[in-house]
Amino acid sequence: MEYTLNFYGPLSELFGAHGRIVLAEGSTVSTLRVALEQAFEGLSDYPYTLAQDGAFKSDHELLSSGAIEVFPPFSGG
Amino acid sequence: MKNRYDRHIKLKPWGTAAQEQLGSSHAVVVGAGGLGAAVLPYLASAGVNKITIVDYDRVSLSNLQRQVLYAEEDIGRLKAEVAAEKLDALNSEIQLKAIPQAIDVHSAEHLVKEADVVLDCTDNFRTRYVINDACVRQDIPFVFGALHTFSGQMAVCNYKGSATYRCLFKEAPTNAVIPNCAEIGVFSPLVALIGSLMASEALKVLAGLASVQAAKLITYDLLTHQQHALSFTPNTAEIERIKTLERIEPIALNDCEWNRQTLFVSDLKELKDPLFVDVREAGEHPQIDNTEVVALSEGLPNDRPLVLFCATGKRARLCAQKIERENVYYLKEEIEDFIHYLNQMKHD
Repeated sequence: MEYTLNFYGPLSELFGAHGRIVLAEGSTVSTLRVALEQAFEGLSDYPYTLAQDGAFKSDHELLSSGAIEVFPPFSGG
Repeated sequence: MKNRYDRHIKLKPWGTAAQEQLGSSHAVVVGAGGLGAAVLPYLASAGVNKITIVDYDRVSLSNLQRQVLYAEEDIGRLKAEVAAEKLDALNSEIQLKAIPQAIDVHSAEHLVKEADVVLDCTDNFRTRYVINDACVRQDIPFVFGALHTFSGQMAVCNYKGSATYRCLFKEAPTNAVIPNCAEIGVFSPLVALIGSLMASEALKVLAGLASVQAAKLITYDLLTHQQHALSFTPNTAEIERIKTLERIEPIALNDCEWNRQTLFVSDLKELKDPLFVDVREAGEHPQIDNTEVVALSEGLPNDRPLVLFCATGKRARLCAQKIERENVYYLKEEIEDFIHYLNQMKHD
């Protein structure tokens, strides 16, 4: 199944605002993390959290069909 | 009270009861920079009874692009003290306390202990995690805001058992991947937007309104006006770990937090009485003959800001990370530019 990725903050500067990734149906968030870090070199250097359908997801949760939001923390104040 | 706060009291979910609750509340604002300068006037003008302002930094020229609480005449003064003066002029009926010091693992729990809400307006992860942990351990609501160029994030954490900042981002970054405003810049209206959202949520918390948007990461991008409100859930194991620690653990030093200590030659005139520290090898050229320049091997005074320099800024940066005190900076420019600055200072 193909997922649309939306990157934010410094991640969008590195990888562009949007990306795509293909995963088997029924994949979990932790599976997605492994695939993302293989597909997007340098992503593993960043802390980031993944959201879908208006909520952040923990690693054991199953992905739904919606776009995946990839948020790093921001630092400036 | 009625005249001053009339426009709030008239609001349907607000009224006299909420205003009275606000009038007996205490907010601690950590950081009086971009976000702090935006948040503070709204808290003061709304009638928060007591506001504690924690910031060790001084007003500099480059602050004035976005920190509209300050003026040119304030350059060089402590932000906490200037902010308290300005807020007192805005609302003399409230109590203001300026604490011009850094917050760390030793002071955090004491500084927040009497707060009804703590607002994190800082620009580094070390402080944010320390404040979060202090609030978790004392069950104090914690409102954070953070900026990246044209985009901002904010959330209410730890409100009536809701998720904390660590439930969203468990660990602080351990390397130099997340830059701050000093390095990449920030769009000035963004501080007003995110600061306003933070003030709005803090006022709702303090006034006891039911509509607090706890454990939702609110994001806004001022280039596209794209926005999100994404919920996050408590990580109970992590919350329990923080609550049961003997004391708050320091966050490992990382490159991002040191960005705030980066200086360019153009910033130097804003520092009060700096001492320049040459971290190059002995005999390295060009030699600098100036009474305000000392070698790293010499005894360094504690009462003056230290500005470390080398040929390119790289060694100075590494040395700055190892000096455990405040007011340590490093020059991120070629040494020729610095020498030119010193020569100009001699002639002025």
